[in-house]
Amino acid sequence: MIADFRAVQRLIWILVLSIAWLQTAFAQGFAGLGRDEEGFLPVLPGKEFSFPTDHGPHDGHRIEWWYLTANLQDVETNEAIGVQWTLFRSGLGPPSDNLSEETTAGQVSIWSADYLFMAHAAVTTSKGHYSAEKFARDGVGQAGVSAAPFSAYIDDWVFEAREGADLLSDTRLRAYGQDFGYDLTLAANGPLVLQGEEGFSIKSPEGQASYYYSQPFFSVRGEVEIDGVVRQVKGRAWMDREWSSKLLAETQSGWDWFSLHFEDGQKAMLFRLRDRVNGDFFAGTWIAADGKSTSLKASQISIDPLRTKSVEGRKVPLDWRVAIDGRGVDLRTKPLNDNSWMATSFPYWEGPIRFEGSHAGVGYLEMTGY
Amino acid sequence: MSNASASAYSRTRPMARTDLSWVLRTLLSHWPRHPLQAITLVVGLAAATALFSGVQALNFEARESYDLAAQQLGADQLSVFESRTGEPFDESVFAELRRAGWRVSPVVTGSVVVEGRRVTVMGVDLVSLPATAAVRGLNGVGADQQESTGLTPLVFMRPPYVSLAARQTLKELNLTANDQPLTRDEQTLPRVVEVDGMAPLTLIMDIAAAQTVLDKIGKIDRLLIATEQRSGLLPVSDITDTKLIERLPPTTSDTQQLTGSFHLNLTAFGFLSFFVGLLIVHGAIGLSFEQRRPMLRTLIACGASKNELTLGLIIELAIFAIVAGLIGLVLGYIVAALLLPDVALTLISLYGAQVPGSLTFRASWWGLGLAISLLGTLATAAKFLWAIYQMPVIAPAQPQAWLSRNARSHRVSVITAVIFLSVGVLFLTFVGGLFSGFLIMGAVMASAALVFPVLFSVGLRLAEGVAGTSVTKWFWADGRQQLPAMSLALQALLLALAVNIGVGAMVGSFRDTFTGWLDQRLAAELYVNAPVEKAREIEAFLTEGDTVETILPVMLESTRYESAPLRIMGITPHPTYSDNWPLIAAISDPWARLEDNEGVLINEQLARRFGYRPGENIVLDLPNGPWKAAIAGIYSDYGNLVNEIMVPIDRVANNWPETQQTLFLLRMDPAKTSGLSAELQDRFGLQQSNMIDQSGLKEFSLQIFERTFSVTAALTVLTLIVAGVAMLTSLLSLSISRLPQVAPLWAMGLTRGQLAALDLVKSLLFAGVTALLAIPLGLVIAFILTDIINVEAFGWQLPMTKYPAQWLVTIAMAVATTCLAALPSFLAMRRSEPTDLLRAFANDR
Repeated sequence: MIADFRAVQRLIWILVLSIAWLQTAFAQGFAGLGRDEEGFLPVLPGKEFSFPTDHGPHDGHRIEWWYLTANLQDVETNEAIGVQWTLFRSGLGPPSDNLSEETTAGQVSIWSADYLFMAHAAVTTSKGHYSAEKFARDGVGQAGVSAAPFSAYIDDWVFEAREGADLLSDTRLRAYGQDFGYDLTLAANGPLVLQGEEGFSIKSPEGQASYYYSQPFFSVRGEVEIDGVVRQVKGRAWMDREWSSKLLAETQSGWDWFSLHFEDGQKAMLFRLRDRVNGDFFAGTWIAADGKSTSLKASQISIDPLRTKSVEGRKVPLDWRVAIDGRGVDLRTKPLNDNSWMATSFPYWEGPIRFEGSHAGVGYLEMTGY
Repeated sequence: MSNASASAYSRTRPMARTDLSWVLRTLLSHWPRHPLQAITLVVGLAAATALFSGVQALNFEARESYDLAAQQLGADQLSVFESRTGEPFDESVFAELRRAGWRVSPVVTGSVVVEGRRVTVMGVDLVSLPATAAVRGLNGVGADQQESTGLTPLVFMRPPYVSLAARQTLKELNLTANDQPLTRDEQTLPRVVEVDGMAPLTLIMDIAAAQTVLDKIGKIDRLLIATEQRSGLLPVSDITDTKLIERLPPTTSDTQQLTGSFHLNLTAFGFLSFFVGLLIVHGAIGLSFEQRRPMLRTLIACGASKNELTLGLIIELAIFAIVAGLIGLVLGYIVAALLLPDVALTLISLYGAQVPGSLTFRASWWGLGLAISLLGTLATAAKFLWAIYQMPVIAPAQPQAWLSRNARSHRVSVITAVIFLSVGVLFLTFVGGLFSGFLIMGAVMASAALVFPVLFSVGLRLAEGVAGTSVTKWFWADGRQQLPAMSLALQALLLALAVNIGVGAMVGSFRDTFTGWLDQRLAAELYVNAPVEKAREIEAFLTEGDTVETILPVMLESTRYESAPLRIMGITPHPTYSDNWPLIAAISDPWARLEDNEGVLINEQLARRFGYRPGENIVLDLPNGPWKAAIAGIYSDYGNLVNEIMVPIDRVANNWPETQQTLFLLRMDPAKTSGLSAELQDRFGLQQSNMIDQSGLKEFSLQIFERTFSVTAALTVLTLIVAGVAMLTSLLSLSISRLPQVAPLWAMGLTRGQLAALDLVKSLLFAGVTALLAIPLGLVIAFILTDIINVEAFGWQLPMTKYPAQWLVTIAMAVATTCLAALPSFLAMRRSEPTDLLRAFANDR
């Protein structure tokens, strides 16, 4: 008994190691998006998307995510509140490596997983930014994604179709952190939008790409709890689905990604991949109020930082000028909270923004690699 | 120096242009003529530095060990879920609980035989392992080890996997790094990677590998429960059909808190040493200044400026401070080195061999010691330096003149004391925390030291008023006149005695509480924790035999109260409890109420956390439904971190019908315990660790306290020596300066022997009264230590015990110290030459 306790005691060393280890694991999958495909499936143009299958996971690809951001407001006070929910799935090794040990009876442990899940949840107000993260192995029931009925989950953080609902048309989104939580209902009021060229989204001149589609037409209702105070909220949400095996070029250091909801119902997605060697790479999609999407040319897009501030010891551009040539768009964006820093294993800046200029509206900004 | 003095000699008007070195030389010339005084000053300063730095060194060493030990014990603080039977359960329970929001992590354990040795295999899931707060201070280890061993999470989590092992394990299994151990069943284990800090003969690997190696595919043995869980979680019984019990962490915090308290004890002593040290320095410097007043007058008359004089004195003091400080450091090191084995033994008893038995030499320690010596010297001399700086040119001719000013300062003392106390109380009320606890202790000590001479003086005046004969009147008046010169030494004695009483009471209370705690937890002579499968059999055996007088079964269950773990202890009501279990607070007949199912007892931690008081109700969510119970009493549960509630055993049995009685308290003849435990070992294969022999454990813990006491006792003697030195210097100073006062009495017919005896009686009286006053002050200090500082430090209150015998010893020691200190001046007076006494008249003014 005592010896047993001692053994548990020594777990402490593993506890220590685990944090550093997990970071490395994801560095090889998530943050190290510029690594070689190494036996994972390539991303090629001309894919025929098929739903609901493509809502589910794609074995053979290295990295995949289910990414939700919501611009909400308190029903009573109209105070702006941002919500983020993200589930990443990352391959631990190429499919050919996935040789699990068998017992003499031919059984295989479900714990010898080929994929790891990582999830981030956050709530942002003008006064505070709350975030949490989770990790899980694939295949043990702790985390997973199924296409129909749709369900993406890790522990008690869940994004799933409500009972009897058709795929993503009526969903529920939940997450809980130490000092925050939310339980939201999301109803899709428009079609899915394929990004890039029919869902083939190029990330660099060398041809790195991902499969990428979005559901930017969610209307949201529900509850957000911060520090024990529950608020009724409403607003809109945007879901991104993306998977790839080699997302970035080796010389690309990070990205600045915008999702914009214009007050007139139009939407836009824009990103800039920063590349010191070959120059920045720009891409985007214009989404009409009825969901009809048009790919934007790099030459149409300008994204320039206007105000930079030190956040958590890093210089992060917070106010931006965003212009789309040919669409009459010239905006100035400001964050709801300058300190929307995700203090997760891979820290990055992600938070709600609002914009003025040629158009007014709200959106989300994600900045990595700072 | 020599050049300067040579040039000074060559001048025709040597003091016309004074020279600092000349002043300094004159000042220093005092010492060769008063070697005893020089020694006293150096001894005083050195003793102060030695005590301060010695205790600091001990403290530092103890704290280091304490932190180290606390870190290594950290992981034990996790609760676990196990199946009721202790058997492995289905791994799907993990996902069920996780999906319901519980932060748990699976563990698979078992053993294999390698090279004829039984090796424990533990399988863990890196991904869900809770990163508890206990890993603080150990971060960074991972990165280093990754580099040297090629260990990455992928390597750990992916086939072909690795086995982590301590160096010792590799040695005992005849393995080198990267070998793949072969088990007796011809199974090849993952390659071994050496990792620091693991238990011997244990292999840690990924849960997938462990399931395969142990042939436990689909099974887990337990779930570690992260400390922080979100509120509003469903109870596990509502989530899974698998019957789980929560095993709370073993209360290793007992030892942590014991060590913490030991450390606190040392801190209190460090504090005392600092105070007493400053007082003795103050006394010694006062004496040297007093004796050199004629010299200072002469120097001023010769043209030395007050600036030069003051600067000269500061330099002189600095020289003394550095020399004495260095000696003090050496002495302090010796003190610490002598005491450390006791300290180390105490800590080793608590933790196992993790404490270095030798003192580490630290440059910072030297620096701090010298700085304290210098600062202390200058701070305590500030008053005298200021007096010299302000001194009218004529005044220095009257050696006792400055003392009379002290009468006026009485009011200042009282006001200062009131301010100190107010600040302390304000801090305690509005700021709180350990710092405020120590602040109020400092305030009390300083205030007591300040007010003490005032009280003493008032007492002497009253005594003088009621005195009959002229000699007794003179006796009291002379005492009052002597008081200002003696008060420093008496203050030192007062504080030394008071803190000794205070710290003694704290350590004593701690011992009593701890043994009392053992009495409650182990009130019975033998305590048997039977394995589930043998419990019935063992109980039957114990009932049938005639060795055991009474069997008291206990049922332990756990649930959650306000999402924190709650241990429910179902007991069989018996005088064993009611006679031994100390209650902090209770309504009437708490034990009878418990027996009649009308009330429960809760531990102090539960009461404190949720603000419960006896007589109030607590509502528990039990399997049979919510239960509202009246709190009949609160018991002190020293060292326990977990909330606990004591209920009649039937309450547990009814709510958890599957729970077996496995814990038995046996009342029996203490002489027969070893025989019975041997028989239980033979007959049922019980391990020694399944049985606790009360007397054995008590003996062990008393040994720990005896060591603590021996350290305390040694420090007591040292502080008394310091106070004794202060007394000696004061009395010596008085014996020289008091001649003019004593001479008239001699002239009036009192013999030198009578005068010496009167002085001795007076000194002893002073010491006796001081010792008497030290008792209430000591009790106040004890109260602050047990009821304020201990509560701030550990969150629980020590019931204070008073030890009158210890006070008598203290008074006796004070009198003995005074006797020793007064002996030289007593002898000097007895042997004083009539010519000296006559000269007092000739020289007087």
